[in-house]
Amino acid sequence: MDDGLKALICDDSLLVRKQLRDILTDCGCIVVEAADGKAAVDAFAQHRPDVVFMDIVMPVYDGLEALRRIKETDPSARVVMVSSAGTKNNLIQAIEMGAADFLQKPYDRNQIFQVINRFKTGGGL
Amino acid sequence: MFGQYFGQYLLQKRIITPEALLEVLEYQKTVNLKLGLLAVNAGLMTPVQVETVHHAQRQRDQKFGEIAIEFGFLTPGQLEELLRTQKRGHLLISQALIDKNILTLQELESALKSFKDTGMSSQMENLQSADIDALVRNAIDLGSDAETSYDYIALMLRNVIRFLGEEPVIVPGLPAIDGAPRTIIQEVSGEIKLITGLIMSEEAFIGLARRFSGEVIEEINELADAAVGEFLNLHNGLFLVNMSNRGIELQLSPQKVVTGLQSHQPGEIISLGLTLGNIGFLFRKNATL
Repeated sequence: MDDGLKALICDDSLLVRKQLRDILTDCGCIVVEAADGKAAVDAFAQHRPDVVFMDIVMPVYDGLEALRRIKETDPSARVVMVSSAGTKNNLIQAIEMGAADFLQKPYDRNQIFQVINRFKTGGGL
Repeated sequence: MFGQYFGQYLLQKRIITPEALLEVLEYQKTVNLKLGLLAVNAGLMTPVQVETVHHAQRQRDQKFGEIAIEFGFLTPGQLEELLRTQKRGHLLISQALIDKNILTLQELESALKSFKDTGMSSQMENLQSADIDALVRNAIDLGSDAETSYDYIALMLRNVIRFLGEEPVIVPGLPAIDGAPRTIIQEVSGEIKLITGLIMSEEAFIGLARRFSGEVIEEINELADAAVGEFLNLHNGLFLVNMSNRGIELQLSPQKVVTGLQSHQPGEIISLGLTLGNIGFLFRKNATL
C-alpha cells in the first residue's frame, strides 16, 4: 500500500496519535501530527496533507471549529472526523461543514484502511 | 473471574497472604472440581457429611455421589445439578485452596458465606447473565428520578467489561486507594451537567492504562495519562451518543489530570473492584469545573 498519501492526525491524546500513526504508516502514509484544534489548522496550512483525521473534543479549537477553518482555507480539503462523540448534532455539523467522513471511536484498522484506499482511488464521501 | 474476586476478598480480609493467592490462582488452572466442595458451596451438605463420604470412599470403590445418596445427604436430582455445576468451573479457586492446604473445608465454607453476605457474589451472578442494569440498581440507591444516572453507571460497567476485559464489582463505600490517588476528570455539559472522573492508585492507573491501550506502560507518564483519559473519553462519548439518540444533545470537554480532589459528597463516587485494583468512579451531578 505504498501510495505516499500525506496524512495529518489531530488528536489531543498521545495514545490515539501513536496508534493511528502506526496504522497509517502501515498504509504507506507520511504522517504529521497536531495535538489541538489550532495546531491542526496551522499544520494543515504548513503541510497541505492529502487527508486529515480530526478528533472533535480538543483544547483551544475543537475539531469542528478546526474543520471549519481548514475548509475556509481549502474547500477541497479531505477531513475525516474521528470521535467517540458521534452525536446527531456533531454528525450534522460535520457533514454541513464538508467533512469527508465520520468514524465513531473505537474504530479498527480496517476502517482506516478503507478510508485511505478510497482516497487513494480518488473517492470522497 | 470468580477466582480473582474471591481471592481479592480473601486478601482484604487477611484470610490468606498475597503469595498464597498467587500460588492458588496459578494452581487452579490445573485442578478439577470435586463434588464435595460443590455440595458444601451449594449448601446441600456440611463439611462433616463430606468428610464422612470421603472416609467411606477410602473403604469401598464407589463414587462420591453414589455414597452421598446412599447416606441420604443428597437426592438424585441434587446430584445431577451438582454434576452440571461441576462443568462450569467457576469454583476452581475454592478447590485449589483446599488442595494446597491453605484453607480447611470449614474455613472455606465460612469465607464463602461471608463473601456472599457482602453482596459481591450476587453482583457476579448478574454480571454473568449480563444483567448489568439489575446489578447497578441492586447495588446502588440513587433515589427516584435517577434513570439517567443508573444508565450512565450501567454503561460504565459495560465499558469496563468491553474495553478492559474485567468483570467489575460495585464495592460499598469509598475505594481503598494506597498512596496519593491519581485522577482523570472530564466535564459533560448541556441539558445535563456532570463532572465525571476516574480516581485510583498509581499502580491501578498504570494497570488500567496498559490494559486499555495494549501498549507497554510501566510508569506514570504522558502515554499513561492519555490511555486512562481516552478510556474515560470513550465512555463519555458513548454516553453522549446514547443521550443523542433520545433527543438530548450534550457536549464534552477535554479530559484533565488532577491531583487531590478530595472533597467528595456522599454518593458521588462509585467504587469499582477490578482485578487491576480499586477504582473510584466520580459522578458529580449538576456541577461544572
